[in-house]
Amino acid sequence: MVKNDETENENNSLIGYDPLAWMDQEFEDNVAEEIEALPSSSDIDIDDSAFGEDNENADAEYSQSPVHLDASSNIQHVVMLHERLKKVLAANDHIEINASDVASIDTATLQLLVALKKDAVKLQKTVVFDSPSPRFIESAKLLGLRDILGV
Amino acid sequence: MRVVAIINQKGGVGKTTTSANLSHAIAASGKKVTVIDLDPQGHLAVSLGIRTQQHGGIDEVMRGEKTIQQQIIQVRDNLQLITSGARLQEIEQLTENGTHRGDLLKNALQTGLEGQDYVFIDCPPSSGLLIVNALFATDEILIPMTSDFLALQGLSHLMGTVKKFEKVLKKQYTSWLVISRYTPNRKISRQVLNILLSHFPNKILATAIRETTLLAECPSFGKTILEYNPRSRSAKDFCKLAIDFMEGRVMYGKK
Repeated sequence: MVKNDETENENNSLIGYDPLAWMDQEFEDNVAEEIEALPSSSDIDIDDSAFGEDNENADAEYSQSPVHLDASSNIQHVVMLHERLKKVLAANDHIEINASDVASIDTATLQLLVALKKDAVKLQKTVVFDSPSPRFIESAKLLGLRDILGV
Repeated sequence: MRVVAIINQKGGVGKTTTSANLSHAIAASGKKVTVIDLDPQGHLAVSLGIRTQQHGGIDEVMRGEKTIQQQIIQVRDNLQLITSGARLQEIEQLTENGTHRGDLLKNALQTGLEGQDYVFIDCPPSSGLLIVNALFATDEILIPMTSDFLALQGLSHLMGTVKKFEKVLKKQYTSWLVISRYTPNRKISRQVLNILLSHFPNKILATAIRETTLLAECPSFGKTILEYNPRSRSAKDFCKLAIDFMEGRVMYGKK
């Protein structure tokens, strides 16, 4: 009985507010400034082929880890990548992102990957970057994201 | 050589306990370690068995009166100590050097510690000039954190200070957190740890140091936990933490 009560109470927070929340806001503000410098996304032609007439096997594969990042990982592909990462996060406890082919990556994609890491931590899941390319590491370093991405 | 400030302006979070036991555990693994007591209270020296103020300390080096080599005390195999010295508190009130006051420790460490693998700086529980000197002197900080709400509040303040320094000095600190005085059976401890993991993924060292009475007892004997009770779980915690720190092993979100 006591154990059940403890389990039930485990979800009740004993912490009224998070004094460190400003760190996330400050980080998001900094990234937002970076993204403002990018070209407008209003004219982006999203390639819907990946969502087309997938059969069940393809859909299952779509939600599997590892996720292979494109050589050019930029804002034009970020919507597709976002959709895929949501499915992968829902379907896996351990997510591997293969970043070995990345030859260029922009702040929008990096922001998405940071959000993935943070969501994974909240869900007590793990995200690991496999064999990140030198360009991936360099871009993460430029934005001060090496620690948070773990590369 | 890694120069690491063990820092948290909140008192009672385990800075000196971490400084003494982590530095000894790393030294016991064969690495050469120097630990500097930057807290005018001098508790680190006491924890390592140095009870008198006969030895000059880092205060005299920062004032340019002595060299680092003159102040070194060999306290264990591979482990050397530089005490705070009787006049370290006066450094907080120094004004005559104007804008260069923050450089005193950095300048003091320029020579004399060649061949050391690790230099730890045990910082005082304050946010004054000594902390400024510590942040000038290092690129790496280790933050001991207890798992309670007020420690979160203190950490928020500390991170604000660190970020200001990063902007002014145009550098980014490598920061690590160590969970100290951890009581895993307390629900709030687990919740605080989860909050920390969400804000500091990949920065919390993998081993949490559990709260035990032994850790409170050993300073009065001038012994580290590795000497006071080497078979205790606290000694094992610190030996694991030493490996975590040297190899960068961290918590990934799952406890």
